[in-house]
Amino acid sequence: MRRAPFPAHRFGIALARVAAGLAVVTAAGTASAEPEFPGMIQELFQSSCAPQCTLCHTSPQGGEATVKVGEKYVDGTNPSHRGYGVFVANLGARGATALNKDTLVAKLKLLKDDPCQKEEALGSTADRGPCDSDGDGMSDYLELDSEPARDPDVSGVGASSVCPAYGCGASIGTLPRDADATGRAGAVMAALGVALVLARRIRR
Amino acid sequence: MRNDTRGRRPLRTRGPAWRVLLVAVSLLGVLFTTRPAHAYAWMIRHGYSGCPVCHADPSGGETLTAYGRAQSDLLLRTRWDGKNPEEAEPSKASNFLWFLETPPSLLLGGSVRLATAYTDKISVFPMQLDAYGQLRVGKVLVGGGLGVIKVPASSPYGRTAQVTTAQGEAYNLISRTHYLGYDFDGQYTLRAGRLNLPFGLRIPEHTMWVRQATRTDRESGGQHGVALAYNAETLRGEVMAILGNYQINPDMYRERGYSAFLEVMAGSRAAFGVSSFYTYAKRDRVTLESNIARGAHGVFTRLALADPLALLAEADIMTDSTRSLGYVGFVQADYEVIQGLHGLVTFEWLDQGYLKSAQMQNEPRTKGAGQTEVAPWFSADWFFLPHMDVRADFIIRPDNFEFLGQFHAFL
Repeated sequence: MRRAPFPAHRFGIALARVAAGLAVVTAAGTASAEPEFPGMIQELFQSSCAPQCTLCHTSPQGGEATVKVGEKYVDGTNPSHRGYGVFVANLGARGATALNKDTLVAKLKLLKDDPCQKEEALGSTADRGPCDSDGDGMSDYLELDSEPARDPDVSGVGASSVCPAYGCGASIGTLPRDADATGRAGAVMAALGVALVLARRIRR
Repeated sequence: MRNDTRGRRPLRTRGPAWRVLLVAVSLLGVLFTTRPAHAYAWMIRHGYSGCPVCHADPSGGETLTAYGRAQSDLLLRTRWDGKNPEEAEPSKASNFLWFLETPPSLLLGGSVRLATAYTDKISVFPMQLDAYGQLRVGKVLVGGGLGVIKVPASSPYGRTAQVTTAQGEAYNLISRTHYLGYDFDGQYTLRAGRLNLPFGLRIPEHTMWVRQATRTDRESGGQHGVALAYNAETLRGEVMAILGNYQINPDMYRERGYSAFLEVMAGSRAAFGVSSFYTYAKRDRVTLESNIARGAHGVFTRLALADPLALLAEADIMTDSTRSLGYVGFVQADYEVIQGLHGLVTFEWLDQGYLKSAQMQNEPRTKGAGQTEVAPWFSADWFFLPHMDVRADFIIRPDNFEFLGQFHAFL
């Protein structure tokens, strides 16, 4: 039996599918490159939860292609300990090795005391303070070591890596209350009240 | 003994009602209890559909009423005196702390669980150190519990009930429930505060997937809100407006929505129910994902298949805005070998749903996340003295085997 000729446009579609599949597979590999990082950070700092991928990535799914970039050195001539102004860039610049799961903990520990600005080519090295990527006055190390952890890339408490705090009145700062929640809660309570009244009337 | 003002059937120690009940108990023979203060198949056998007869919580759990204490002493434990339950009177050991008779308006209780677990190493730890109670002033109820925990920083247990604010591995005061309530007419109870979620079967195995995956266990799943419970002869239910757990901060982690169940008695030895919950939070406290809507909707049943054999079952579908549709459930057979000694076989299953983010990246489906995961439990529970039991669980889950041994005293 003679096979039907394979139409050119079908070949194109098949090729596109193969390419897309390869792209997805490749992307999947990079996206889960270092899934241990959040847990390792949590363990080192004994945080109540692991940080989100957005601590170092622009996407909550992580991935090598989404690592935050800090190409420009901040205030090189006016020491502020901000370094590259991006936490993951400053973290990667600690020590002489690349950032990977074997060096992560050592690099995190270096954030505690290692001077953030020590490359004379990039600016003044007079100030020997540790990195404060967001320039809020609290070093990156202390922000991560806070309980609950603060976001070292956002001035103040931040939100992207913040953990829930447990206990009555436990506070992580001045994060605003969800304004819509009050309305929703009120509506639900009102509905419950109506249900109660109706139930009693039905019983009568 | 005291009059039980909340139950449908007033209890008098030596009154006719009490004697009638004891005779009824003797005629019905060996009961198929599961564990105290948690599961109530034996109440089904007696035609009771409501939990308030034995518990302060209208949907069951924790604080026992005077009637519940008496039943625990008479029917739950192994009787070393050889007396039939119908011939015996509740002993003083059925009182709070085994000796203290409290006024009728005041119910006190507690739970101490000492556990040993083996997975890859043996650990011994206090699983539960809770005291609880309820004060009734007319139709007004004030109740709740206080306890102590010490868990690692990343532990999923106990944290959500913290009163004190230590976030690391330190001792913390907890309160799993606290509420103000009003009894309308013995059938309707309105409560506001931190409450157990009215959903599914109230089993003591808080790590069983059906409770853990839906976060409806009584260990950590409580939420603040307002709940209306209804308990009648053949119908019981509770609906709760979940206003968020105010022991979690900041507000974006608080889930808001509803939880409800309705159970119908089918004859005197079977009950069938449906339950449903749905919540929304700006951020999930476990996954830290944003704008999470979670829900679970399912059916459950309690059956007495024979005098000593009870069957509990629940099946739920789970919705999560970050996952495909999931499902969870369990079937548990409880055989009472002799009074007080129970053998249990449980099968549980879980598929939390395939992560949508994983789907985008074409990651494989795994057991529990896109594929069904099944685990058997083999357990024995022996109520060897008044308000005391020892329990052993062999839990065979795909990723690990766990032995859990417990000594439990309910005060």
